[in-house]
Amino acid sequence: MVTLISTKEGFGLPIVEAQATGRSVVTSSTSSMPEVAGEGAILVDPYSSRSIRDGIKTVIENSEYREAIIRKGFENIGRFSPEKIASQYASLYRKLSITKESQ
Amino acid sequence: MIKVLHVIPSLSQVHGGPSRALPIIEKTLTEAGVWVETATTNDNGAGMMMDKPTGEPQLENGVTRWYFPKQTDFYKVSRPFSRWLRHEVTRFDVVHVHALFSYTSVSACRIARNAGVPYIIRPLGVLNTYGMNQSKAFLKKTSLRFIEGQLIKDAAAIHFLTKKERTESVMLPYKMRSTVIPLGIDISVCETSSMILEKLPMFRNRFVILSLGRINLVKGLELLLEAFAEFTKSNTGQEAVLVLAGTGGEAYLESLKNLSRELGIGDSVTWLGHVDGDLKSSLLDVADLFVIPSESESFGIAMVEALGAGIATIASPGVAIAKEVEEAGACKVVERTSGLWAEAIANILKDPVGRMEMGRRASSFVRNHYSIEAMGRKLLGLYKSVISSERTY
Repeated sequence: MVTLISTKEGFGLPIVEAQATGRSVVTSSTSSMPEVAGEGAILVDPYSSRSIRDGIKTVIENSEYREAIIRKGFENIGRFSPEKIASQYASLYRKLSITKESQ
Repeated sequence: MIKVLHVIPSLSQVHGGPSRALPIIEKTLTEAGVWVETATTNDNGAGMMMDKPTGEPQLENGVTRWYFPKQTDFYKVSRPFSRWLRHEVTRFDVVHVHALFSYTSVSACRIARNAGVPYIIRPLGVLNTYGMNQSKAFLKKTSLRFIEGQLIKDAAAIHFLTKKERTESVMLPYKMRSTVIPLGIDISVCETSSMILEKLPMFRNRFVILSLGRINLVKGLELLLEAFAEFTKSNTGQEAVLVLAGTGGEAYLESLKNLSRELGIGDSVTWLGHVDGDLKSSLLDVADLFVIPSESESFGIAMVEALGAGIATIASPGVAIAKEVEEAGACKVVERTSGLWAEAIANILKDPVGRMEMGRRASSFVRNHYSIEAMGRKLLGLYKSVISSERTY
């Protein structure tokens, strides 16, 4: 299990790394974390110790749910593959250069 | 500096929510830079008085409090209070009156009005149809017509705690200025602790269903006991225990205990009496489900505390905040029949993931909507607006 229970996070790379290595992830329901984690994590309120505890407990006690989270984590990392990200950068650069030429 | 006087018939803990909310309001306003004083009686429940010096200022909770002798239990008459207020009222920019059908409230409104000091009334739920039809209904209706009605119309504002309280107010057809400002709660009271209860065998390996609050008729506890009995009969999963924390009249409490024995759940129901401090934090930690089956609840401060702690909750539609909390996916609202409640209890207890998610949404919702900071900002805005607006009495 990997926990990343920050109150704020610019991205949250450990979430994706943990998903890529088949870990169950517990992360915060705030800031960028839900967006990055997709369906592949248990979300908890980072300000509530009870919520954090209940999230961790769910991973430990509920094997079916844990497996589902891990599976969805694998599906989620597809969004962050180097090829996908690189092609998004490439298309952004192309768009910028076209805009510049047409000026 | 804005100077505000709060008037409340009693600060005694035996009255539950309303008396507990005021210290929070005092503290928040003080921190926001408002000069706060509170005037009240020395009432400590029927026939009881607090051991406080009367008629002289006491520094408590960071504010100045004035206690005056309660001369009668009924209506909590205190003529020394009125004498004091007539001399002092012009020291204040605004008078904030908590409760309605009580001597200090009526007296404070009249004195403020006569002195040209704007006053705000927080009616504590008694203006809705339910509150009006509860104890002393005829007296309340007559009194409203001849006494409070005019005071409400002349008030600078009526301070409702929820939209539901305003919508259901019997005064709605009349001209009144009103505003909705929810109570803020001190999030730190939602801090959970596993200190005490995990050591008690009673709670080990059992679902804990928690009810917190005063024990009286309006709380709908008969329905809860019946629903719990129904649930227990058909429950095939982990055993459950129902914990009732709160105080109430001896006779009524005894009748509830009898009912639980008749229903055959006497051994699965625990009566804890008044709880606070570590014991309360421990309960908020150990509870799997919070239940509030009240017929009517002008706010539901106990529910906010449970939500803030992150506990999955079932509430009746009579709890004023229940609907808006359910819309956020942070509680389940269930009509008041024991069958539906038994079913809802079973459904939530057999769904640990749903419970966890509901709890997470609950604690976030409380932080964003019912925090003390939010309340302080709104109250300050209200005071500024009533002080600056023209009044025609």
